[in-house]
Amino acid sequence: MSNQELGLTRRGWLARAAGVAAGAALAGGAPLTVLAQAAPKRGGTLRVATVDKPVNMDPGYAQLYSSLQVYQNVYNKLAYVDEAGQFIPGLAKSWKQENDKTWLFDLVDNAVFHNGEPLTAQDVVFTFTRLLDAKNKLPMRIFFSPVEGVEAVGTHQVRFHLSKPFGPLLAMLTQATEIVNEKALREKDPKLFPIGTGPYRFVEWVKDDHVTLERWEKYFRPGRPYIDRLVFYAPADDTVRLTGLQTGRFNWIQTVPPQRMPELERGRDPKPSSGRPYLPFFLMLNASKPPFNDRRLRQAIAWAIDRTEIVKLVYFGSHVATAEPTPEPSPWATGVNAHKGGPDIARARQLLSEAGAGNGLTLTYLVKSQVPVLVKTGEILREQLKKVGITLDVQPLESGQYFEALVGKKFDIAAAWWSVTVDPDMFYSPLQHSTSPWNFSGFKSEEADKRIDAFRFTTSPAARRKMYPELVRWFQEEGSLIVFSNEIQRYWMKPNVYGSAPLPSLELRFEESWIA
Amino acid sequence: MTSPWTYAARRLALAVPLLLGMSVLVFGLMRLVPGDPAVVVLGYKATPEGVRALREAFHLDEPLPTQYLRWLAGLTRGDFGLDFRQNEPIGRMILDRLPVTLELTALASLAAALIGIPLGLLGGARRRGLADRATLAIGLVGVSIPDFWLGIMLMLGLSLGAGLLPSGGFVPIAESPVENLQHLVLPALTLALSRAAVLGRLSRAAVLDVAQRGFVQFARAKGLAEHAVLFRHVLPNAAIPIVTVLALQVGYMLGGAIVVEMIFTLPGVGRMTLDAVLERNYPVVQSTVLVIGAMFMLVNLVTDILYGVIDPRVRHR
Repeated sequence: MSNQELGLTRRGWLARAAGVAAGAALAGGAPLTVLAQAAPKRGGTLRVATVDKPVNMDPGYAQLYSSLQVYQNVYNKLAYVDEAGQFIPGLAKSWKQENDKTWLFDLVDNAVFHNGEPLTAQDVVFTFTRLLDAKNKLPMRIFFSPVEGVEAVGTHQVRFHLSKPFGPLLAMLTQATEIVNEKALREKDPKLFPIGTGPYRFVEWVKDDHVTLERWEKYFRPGRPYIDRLVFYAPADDTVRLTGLQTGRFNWIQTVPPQRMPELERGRDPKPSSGRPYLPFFLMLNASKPPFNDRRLRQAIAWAIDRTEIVKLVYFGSHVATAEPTPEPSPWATGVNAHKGGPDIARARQLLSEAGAGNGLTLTYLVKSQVPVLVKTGEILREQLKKVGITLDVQPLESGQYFEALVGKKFDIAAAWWSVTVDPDMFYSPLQHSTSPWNFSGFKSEEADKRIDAFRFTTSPAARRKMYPELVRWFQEEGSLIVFSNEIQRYWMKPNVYGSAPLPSLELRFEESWIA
Repeated sequence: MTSPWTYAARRLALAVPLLLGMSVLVFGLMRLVPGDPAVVVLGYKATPEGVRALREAFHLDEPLPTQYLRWLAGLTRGDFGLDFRQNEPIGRMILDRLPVTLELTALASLAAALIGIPLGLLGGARRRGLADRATLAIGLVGVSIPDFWLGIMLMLGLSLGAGLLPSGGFVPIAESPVENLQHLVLPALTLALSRAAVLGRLSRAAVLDVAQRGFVQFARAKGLAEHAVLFRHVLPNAAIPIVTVLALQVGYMLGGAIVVEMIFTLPGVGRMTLDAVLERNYPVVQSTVLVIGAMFMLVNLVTDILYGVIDPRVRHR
């Protein structure tokens, strides 16, 4: 996971998770997504403009979101997540939890890799053996630590053996890993030539220009995909991307400049997809050293910030103001806000005073200079914190310095985003567990670990849902991570493009898309 | 009298120490830029152990002179090394992208010369006239407009507004020469306009300078028509500074291609260099800068040889 990869940066490999974009089909093939009014039509080329260019097509590395969004169309996973956050079949047509520590998956029997090899249970075993083998040093391994191994039960059935009950297993499977074929990996470098069972087969990759995929005729879901050819481009600028869509160079783009949204929404061409908040933005308060090792000061910040103002002034309504990582309409939305009624300046001042900082405080705000919205967020925050006597020194740093400061914990407040929230464990575990390398706020607490572990290692969905609101509240009250908004994912396309909608996994899958 | 070939050979020999100097400079400058490449590559995963392992893998843990010599030794074998991000041979990466940048630069140079030089000549020949004022105004505006703004404006105007040209992308010339040209018109114009402005101003100044010399006044005095004075006496004598500046502008365009390639999504060396700078991909930056530098030297060498063609007196030096 490199600088641009991790979910913290939108392009992060964690930015993945499951999901059949555009609504995958259930085992029977019924499309789930928001589809167009007219009947889907076969053919055409979808020219897609994403935010960043791909780097590595090997799903074992899952390095960059920009790579994932391309090869997710080449591979299949065992399961996916739909727009509503529900798990739906992929290469596994069904599954059942046999007991706390074993899961049985039935695979489809008609999937074929693009090299002609039929999919069998051995491919799933190979995929996970490769992933879990420490020698391979695959970055995704850390997320499957409770998985002891995968066993082929029949030619089309696999059993997962876990070391302990693991609540987010399905969510993890929808996030990773794409099923690979051993022979294909030996024949061609998977970093450059992805070979999967997915709806599209890889054709060419002209570096710094485009990647072309073509419809896979032997795709296991009859009649899918609809579009014949996908071409992925990655213009470096929002305006260039939008101009490309308007001139017809592209017919689908990932983002537009937020300030242009109101004007674009009034028109008919281009048209937006539905929009859902799937990308939490938050502040990390460095709890590993003074002043934020004092909970009262973290609380003071939480009471002083005005989320609505930040969203209005910085994000032009392209975000929703929220205090939790998975707001409505996520099935994990709780509505919990420990600072309801905020900003409360008097309360913030009182907390500062109690912590001995009544005469003021000077803090640093660490931000990557290449992310102007977070720099601007810092500027608005500076004005908000001024009201409680805090001087905020906004420090936009270039990538290398930013990571050095972040990893070395040389900051007071840092802003970031996280793109893996199919299961909230994927948010709290990496960011707040004391053993996680991504706990940049340096917040270490036995109680936090206990709560995260309890949520993580409970398998009953009902029990997990019951304990989750309390987990949200507890972390809000601790204040080492202050969620302030969530970016609404909305794609833009030509009026004749249908069947594309954002997914909680942030996957860009075009299996159900079609061009009229 | 030195033959052009001996002269070229001497200049090429001189290019070796220059390239060596440049390699030291670019190697050193990259190391001065804050930010450890291992940290940039690992990003949020930059644990001390991870950083240490990656530094070892990239030989970044070695003393700087050793790192430099290792790189240099590779260069002498034609091996530019592997890039940090994708482990791809850099030589191949450059070769894949160089044709795009060269074509863009060549077209932009042509456009700059076709726009700038006639404008300058016209201004110089009609001093204080309408053409002269227009030359000065265009020159001032052209020099002041940044490429990124001009590129986006041209895109909005000629592509989105008028629908005349594609807003970006690239089609290889082997695939379709017409489409290739269509895709390069806007980028080349973007790159050319500010350089044309410089050329225009310089050409004007050169013409004005020569026009005041005695032999030109004599030509006029003996009754030669103004156009004959301009083309037979003024222009050949003003050509050397114009060609010199044109060559320099070609060099600047090789650098300016970075921004233009980003705006128009062209898969050239410039875009690759910028990405590599942001990623602290040392070997890629070093190699591309060196290649661009070498091309700049080559352009200057050709220019120097051209002097001899333009002005026979130069050959005797």
